Amino acid sequence: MRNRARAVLFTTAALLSAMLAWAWQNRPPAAESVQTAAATVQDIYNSVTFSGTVEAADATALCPQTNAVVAAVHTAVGETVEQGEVLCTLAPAADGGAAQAVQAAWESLQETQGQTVTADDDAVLRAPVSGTVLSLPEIGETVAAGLPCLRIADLGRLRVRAQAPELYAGSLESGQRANVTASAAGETVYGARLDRVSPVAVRAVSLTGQSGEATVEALLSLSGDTGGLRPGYSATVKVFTDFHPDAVVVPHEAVCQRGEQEYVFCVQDGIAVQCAVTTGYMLETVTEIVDGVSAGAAVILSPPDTLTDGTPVEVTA
Amino acid sequence: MRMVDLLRLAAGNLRENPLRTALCALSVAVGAGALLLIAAIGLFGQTQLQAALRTIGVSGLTVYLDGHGSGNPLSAELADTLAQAVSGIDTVMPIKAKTGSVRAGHASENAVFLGADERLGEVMQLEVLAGSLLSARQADSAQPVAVIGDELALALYGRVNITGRTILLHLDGRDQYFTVCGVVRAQTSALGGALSSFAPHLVYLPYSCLATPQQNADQVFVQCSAQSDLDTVSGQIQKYLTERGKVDGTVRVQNMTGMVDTAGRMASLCVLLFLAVGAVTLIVALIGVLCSMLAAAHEKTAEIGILLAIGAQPRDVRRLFLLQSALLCTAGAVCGLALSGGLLYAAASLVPDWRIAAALLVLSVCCGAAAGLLPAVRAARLDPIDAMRN
Repeated sequence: MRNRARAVLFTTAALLSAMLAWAWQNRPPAAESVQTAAATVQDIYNSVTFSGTVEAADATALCPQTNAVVAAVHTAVGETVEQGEVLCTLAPAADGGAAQAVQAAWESLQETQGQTVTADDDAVLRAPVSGTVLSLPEIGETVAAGLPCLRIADLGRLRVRAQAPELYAGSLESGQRANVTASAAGETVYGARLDRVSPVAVRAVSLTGQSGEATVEALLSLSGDTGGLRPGYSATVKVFTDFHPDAVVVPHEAVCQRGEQEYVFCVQDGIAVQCAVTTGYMLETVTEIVDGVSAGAAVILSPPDTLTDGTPVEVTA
Repeated sequence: MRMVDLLRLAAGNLRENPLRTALCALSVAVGAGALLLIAAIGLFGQTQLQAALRTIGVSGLTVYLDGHGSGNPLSAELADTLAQAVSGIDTVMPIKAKTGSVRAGHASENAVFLGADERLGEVMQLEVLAGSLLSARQADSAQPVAVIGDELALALYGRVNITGRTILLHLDGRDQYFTVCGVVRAQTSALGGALSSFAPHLVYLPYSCLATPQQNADQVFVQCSAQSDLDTVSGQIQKYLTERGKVDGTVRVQNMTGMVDTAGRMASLCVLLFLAVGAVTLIVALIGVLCSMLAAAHEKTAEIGILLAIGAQPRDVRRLFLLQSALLCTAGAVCGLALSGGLLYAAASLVPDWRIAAALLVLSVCCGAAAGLLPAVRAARLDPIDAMRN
């Protein structure tokens, strides 16, 4: 009788232990503690920044009719002149002025491009347009026929000639807005518009033969009050190349990667939902989500590697 | 006499003078505890150092040119001929280094770019955390791919796995986009938190992105076969490059494996040195036990005489005092080891190896028995009549 009771007790205990073990094995997973943030919406501007030089938008260069020597100068650099005003008086050049002609040619190559006109008179140089004198030959200087010797520009209209690295050239288009700053002009930001992007890239080569980065020339017209700028100033150009209004963004820590696919874990009814996402721009603290998560979704920050789709989660503060 | 009776007597003797017993046990506890602390911390440090040296990943030989002369550059082409020309070499890989910066989004970090090829995994022990190392096709065709460290990945993207993501490299005055093909454990993490923040990030690029096969390589990593003698191979490399290669400058060969082994040996030596210092503490404690046992034997002279008179053997007296000193040291060692173990766990979450603790316990007991040997022998040699008269 006693043995039978012992057997029954032992069997019952064994059964209970087996059931407890089975229940322990199949217990639901404990909720994982996670921190969340909300997917928000914000406007995203993408920009590229490169350097350039301020120049007058309407610059006119004047070339003498024949080789001559400057006999007299009737104005000065920086003075405003009217169209037709006599600027210089010329005298016929002596023979053998080849060296001076080469020098004049070299100097003219240093000038930035602009409109070039030839003087009507071979004895005087008259202002072809009204404006401010930017450069003048000196008395006794030889000026060569066909090569610019003085420049006049309207300083009321300035533009920026910039060199964009080839890497960014593909994202530049005419009509894009830009901000221009110049260290000489303080912290003033000038509005600009990209007028033209050169169809060719140019690679600068130094005198030692080392080649630099290939660049594409971009012309930007300045708008608004440009009183603080002068032709020749170095400028920093920030061109806004892209604009995404109402873009969905999440904190950087919310984006994880399994293999080569990026994911964001959202919390829905206490369950982690794995969402495959396509990311866009990376801002300072947030990443743009192009596709996969909608605004307002609660996203898990720094999801652990063990977190899987469907895992119960507990949101902590 | 039975062992049980001897144990009871020994325990009773210890209880008779609790202050002396406690002080002796305390000195043994300090000695044993100090040894455990030194052994545990020393071995932990040694393990960490070896793991850190492994993390750096460089082993074998590194070859570079020192100074300038009039000769050929140590080019990748010349380096590739080393493996055939010098016996004992398994793999050779030229390395070209340039500095620049890496940018992704708004994050930017300075980096050192190392030109490598598909042999990178053979000459450096890199732990790949995501993606893969450079392949032969990527290296030969100068594909814009990069292998970066996990710390750089965290700095740029906030996570380790960024394979397939694009980073902007500023290199040679130009900006170029590269795709991350692999992420490895950062080798500069071996330097520790503060120093690793100063060390630059290493980015591995295809060699042809940084230099042509004819241009001078900054270093050549050489991995030798296990059975080759590194010093012999070093000499052969120097001879080959100087005489056959006619390289520009003095050829220097550095034994990285030897340096790592030397660092490991020095770490072991330091641990042994500290253990020796700890052992002095235990010896001092055992001298205290010896003095205590001598005093106890002197106090018990009359009792020893009575024991001998009623039939106890001299060996019983010897065993009595040996047991007494062994019990004393056991109690002290157990307390000291427990206290040190608790301290290690509380302060550094370190759990000392149970084998070290067991060995120290046995050592303490044996040394305690040895310390009690002289008093035991002296007590056993007493004449019963003289002892009782005393």
